[in-house]
Amino acid sequence: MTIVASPTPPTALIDRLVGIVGPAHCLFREGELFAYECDGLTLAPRTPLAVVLPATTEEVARIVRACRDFDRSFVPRGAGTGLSGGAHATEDSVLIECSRMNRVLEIDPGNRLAVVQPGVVNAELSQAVAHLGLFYAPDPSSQQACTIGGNIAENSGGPHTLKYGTTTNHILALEMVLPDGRIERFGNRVGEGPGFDWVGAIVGSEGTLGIVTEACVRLTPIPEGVETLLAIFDDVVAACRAVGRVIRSGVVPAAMEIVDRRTIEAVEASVYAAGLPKSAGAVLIVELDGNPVCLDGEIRLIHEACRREGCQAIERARNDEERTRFWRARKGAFGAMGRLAPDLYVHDAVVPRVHLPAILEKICEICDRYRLKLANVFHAGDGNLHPNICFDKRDPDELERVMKAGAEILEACVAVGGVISGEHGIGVEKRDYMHLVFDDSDLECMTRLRQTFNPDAACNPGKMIPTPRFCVEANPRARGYDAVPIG
Amino acid sequence: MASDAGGIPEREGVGSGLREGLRAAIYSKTLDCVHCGLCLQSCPTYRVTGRETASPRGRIYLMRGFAEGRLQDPELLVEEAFACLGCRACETACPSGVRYGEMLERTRAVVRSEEKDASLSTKIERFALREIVPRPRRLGILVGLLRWVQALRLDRLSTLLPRGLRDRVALAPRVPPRRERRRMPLLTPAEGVRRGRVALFEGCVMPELFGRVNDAARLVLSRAGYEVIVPRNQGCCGALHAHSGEIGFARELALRNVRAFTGELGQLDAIIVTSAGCSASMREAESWIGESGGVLADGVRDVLDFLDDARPGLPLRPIPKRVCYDDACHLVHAQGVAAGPRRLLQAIPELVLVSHRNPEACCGAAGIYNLTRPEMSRAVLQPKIDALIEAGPDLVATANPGCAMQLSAGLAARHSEIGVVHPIELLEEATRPVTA
Amino acid sequence: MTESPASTGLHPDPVEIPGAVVERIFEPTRPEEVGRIVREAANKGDGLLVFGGRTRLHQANPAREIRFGLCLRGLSGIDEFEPEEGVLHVAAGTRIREVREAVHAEGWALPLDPPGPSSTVGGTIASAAVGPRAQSFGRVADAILGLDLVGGDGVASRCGGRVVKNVTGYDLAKLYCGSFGTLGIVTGAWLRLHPKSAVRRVFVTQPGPGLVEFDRHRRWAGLASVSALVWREDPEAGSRQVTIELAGSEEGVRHDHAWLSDRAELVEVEPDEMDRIRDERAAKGPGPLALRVRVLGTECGAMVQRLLDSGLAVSVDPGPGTIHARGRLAHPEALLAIRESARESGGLAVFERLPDTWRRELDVFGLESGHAALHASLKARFDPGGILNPGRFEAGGDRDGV
Repeated sequence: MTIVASPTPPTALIDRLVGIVGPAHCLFREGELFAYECDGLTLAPRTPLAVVLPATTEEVARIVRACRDFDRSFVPRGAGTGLSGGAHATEDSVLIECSRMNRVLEIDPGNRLAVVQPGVVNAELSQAVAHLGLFYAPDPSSQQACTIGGNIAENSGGPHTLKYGTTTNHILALEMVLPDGRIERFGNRVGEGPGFDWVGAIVGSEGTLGIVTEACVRLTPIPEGVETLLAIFDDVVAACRAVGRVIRSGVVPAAMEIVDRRTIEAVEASVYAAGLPKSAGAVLIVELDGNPVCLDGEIRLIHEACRREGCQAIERARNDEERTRFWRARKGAFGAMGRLAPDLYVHDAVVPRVHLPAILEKICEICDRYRLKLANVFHAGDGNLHPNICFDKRDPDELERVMKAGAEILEACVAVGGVISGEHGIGVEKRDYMHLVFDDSDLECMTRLRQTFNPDAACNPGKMIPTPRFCVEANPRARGYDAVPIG
Repeated sequence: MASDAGGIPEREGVGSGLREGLRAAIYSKTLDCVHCGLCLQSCPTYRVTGRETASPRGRIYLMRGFAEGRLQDPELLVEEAFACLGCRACETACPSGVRYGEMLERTRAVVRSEEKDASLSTKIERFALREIVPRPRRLGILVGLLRWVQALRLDRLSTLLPRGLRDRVALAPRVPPRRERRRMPLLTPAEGVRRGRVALFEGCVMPELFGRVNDAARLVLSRAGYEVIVPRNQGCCGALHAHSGEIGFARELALRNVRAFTGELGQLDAIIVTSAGCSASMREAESWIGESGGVLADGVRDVLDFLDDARPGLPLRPIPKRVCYDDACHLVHAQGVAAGPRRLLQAIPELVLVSHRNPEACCGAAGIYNLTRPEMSRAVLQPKIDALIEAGPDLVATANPGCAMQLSAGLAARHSEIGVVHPIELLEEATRPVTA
Repeated sequence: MTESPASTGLHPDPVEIPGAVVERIFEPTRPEEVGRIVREAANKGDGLLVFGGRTRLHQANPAREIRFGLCLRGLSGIDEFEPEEGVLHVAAGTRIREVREAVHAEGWALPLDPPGPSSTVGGTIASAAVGPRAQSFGRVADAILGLDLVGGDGVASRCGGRVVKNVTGYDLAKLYCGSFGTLGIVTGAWLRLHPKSAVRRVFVTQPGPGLVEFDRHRRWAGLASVSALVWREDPEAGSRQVTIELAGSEEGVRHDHAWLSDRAELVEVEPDEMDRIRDERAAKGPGPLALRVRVLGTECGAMVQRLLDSGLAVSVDPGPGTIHARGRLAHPEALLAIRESARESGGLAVFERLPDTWRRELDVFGLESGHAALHASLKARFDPGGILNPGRFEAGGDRDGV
């Protein structure tokens, strides 16, 4: 890819932005923009025109109006941990970074809710309410860094969504700056506003309907009892079958995660070694929580399910240290894989759970065929796969193989009734694969929703809905993202 | 390895020397970062500014981008390399084990070596680091001077100084009386059953300002059954210099210590260090002085880590105080020592270990960062002071002299009564023989 | 063209809704027919009243220019059911009761619990109707994995999917759910099931009067195995009763039962008692008024007291903070005052039954005027001809659209 020269920075716009947020919070030097050229997805980087860091809703609205006056698009960004490029800018858009809007505005323990600014960090919200016996349930793997605003944009999930649901189940009301600069409130504190469920539509809209500037979120009581089990299987197929049996047994674990042989090997060779036996072909981690009197019975059912699928051994964590050790096999995977090559492509797709064993074989076959280093860790209880592919994007041939394998994986998942994203979102990464799942009329309905809020696609252009649809809008501002540029 | 920069297209222009230097020094290491961003919230400067460029991920991206020639202007990279506190909390947060601290030090070293006209502040910093800190006599004179200023209450005149200077003066610790600054005995015999023999590392600032801490360590070790020697020809560890990019000078200092501790090392169980910044740096000596650093890398133990392992089982006298343990970055992040010091304190009867928010977050001292960048340092310090005041202990215990000074100044500025001690001082008090 | 609207004869069972009587009714049996009928109607600009089990036809604003009825009862049946997976695909006209029984037989529970024995899947989705078990089942939208639709232009589309976790594109199902069929006609749905409880027991108890007592029961509603707790009180009859349904594992139910028994006198009743209470809410009377008020949990007791003081009978789900009130009030202003108070308490009030004479003055939903432009814009894009349930889910000019 050739480096496209940025259009000359419009000094008048910069001056106006500086006037809104102050010089310390408006960035436009080369290095500053360079660091903002991508989020957690390092493919397809694009340098923004400027980066502004507002502190209030009013500032966000004024920034949006300034961008409109200068006919520039704008892109909201949280911590930039997203993996689908949802916070990638274009060369003529202003990046609105919400990291400074990080205050918890109100905590209402009686009604189990909190009002927060979008830049509040997921894990820190849970910490802030822990003394009240409450927590914020959605727990994406990046929870120590990602923000509630970003979670709302992506409808983030996590290991424990099996029982607690994703972000959409925990957002009651929102304040949003619309793409025309108006400030609107949606929903209410009981989570049921009169009229359309705007909140439900905004959550997961990847920042294409406006910029969320405040959220009222549901808090959940910390469960009284927690039990973590680790079951070791000969192979991943048996582990998947055990998951099926657990689901059939009527137990709803808080989390059910599988780590495959390739991941176990990588983890055990790294500093995250969890002490798993060499014979382990797959590991299933099951976490149960709730009323302690019920947990013993549930553990018996899990044991039964695993034994019937011939598990080698099953361990029960006796304390928090052991629980941490069990989870290390899961949580260390990302890091252990990351060390194997300069780049790591964390895929995300969902299949009906009964198809897990077959699809895993298929994914391994695809990656072997493209000579790629692959490992699987996944939210088995949800059927949410995360094939991790290690590569070096400086090697154009390898990069091409990664992209081809990725496309085949998505096609295989869709073929069995799955979808192309369970929690990372579409962004720029998968925009051109939307046709695998949806036909033109389905996408047309999505376009209608976007046009209602964002008629000229000035807010976060080029995301989620594929290009042909985009051109239909005949919007000169929407240039960029013709195809995902590589490299 | 001749160069780390496999496969980067050549590009000439601004800062090409710097680019070459970075390619050779750190490029391959920058590739370990997968850009996941899990480090962001652990970074004190990111938390203050909210800027990607002031985060570990952003800084690594700048290093990588500049080395690759995709980023043309090195200005921001240089700025950010020195705006970092070097607390290395990001290393604890990183799932991929990226060695950020090492990259940072190397980047600073390359920048310093490429620098043509150093700014005045850099020159002053360099002078202080080269000509005062590692030279006990000059440092002693300076500290003596400070003692007089404080004795005559001349420090109150600092209100006449401009804000920036005044804040720096406020950071100066109370200079202890001369008797606390006297040198320790060469050899202190073990009390009771002899369990081994250790050498005590004194450091540069420690004997002048925190002599009582070194002495406490010596006494506790001796009571725990260790014979303690204090080699005479030791000196500053060089950590501050390495952190500032003065890598050549840091190497000289480190090599001096290698010589000082080599003779006796054969019979030593450990080289005990009471300052977390020094112990961290010495344990990583191999990365900057090569194999000969192994002597330090293998021998050095932070006093708290050592005692936690040794479990001497001494009788402990009660200390009825509420204490917050605040992790020194270079103990928790650089050495992974967090539980041990808490265990030691918790063992003291009647001592209540009080928890406070984010004990592992940097206090903003960061070597001499609080002198070179007082504004950022203060911004980083504030949440720490808030957390401590909220927890309301009698004492806060921290295992690094720089942190102790910073916390004292921060608490004093808020008129707080909370005292600051090194954990080893509490252990010394608890293990003091009843007759004493 | 075999089925032009004009060719339809009078239906033997005409539909009466506020503002209209619809006598010409289509009853398609395949989704493609729905598309054809809607396209035809769109071409001519004929308004369509879309309905299923007719349970909640009174729960919307008066219709405007409705020419034909479109009954979806003909789209019926479970097309796919995967007991291994706990998901199923069902046609919109299928009765909830039918689905519930089918999944029970395989050890699953359908987490849809709308009042009214003839409720259909489509109608439940369109009205987002929940019952007393909302606290354990969640909202209707939570049960929806994907929808099949026909838009106002007669074009069929899909949203969501069949998997239990999905962020592929906008979550349009949320918009369709509870929009009273004004954005599109739901013809089928993928639903996610809950595990069926091993044990279900229902108890009644006689609470004392007052806010303190009410709050005590509100907290009980939070016990792990309480699947529903309903507080019913009728000031005219002077009756007050709490019904508690416990569902879950044997240990869990036993534990909570023991805990409750220590604090209240429990009398066990038939296990389907909660269904009876639920369906009672869909029945007519007593009195011409029925309203549903939702407020924050901590405000629920005060709101209940206020409604009782107005002489209304209440059936309350203290867990989610939902109050069903019935009876009569002297003036429409009294209703508006209740709505205002509900808003101040973080919630809303929906007037589910109104005397016909009040309909002109009141908006059933209390739609927010601030969103009127967005609402109209969205509606115009999804139903450009304005033929899907015209008037039913919009605030008229003469109503309180504040």
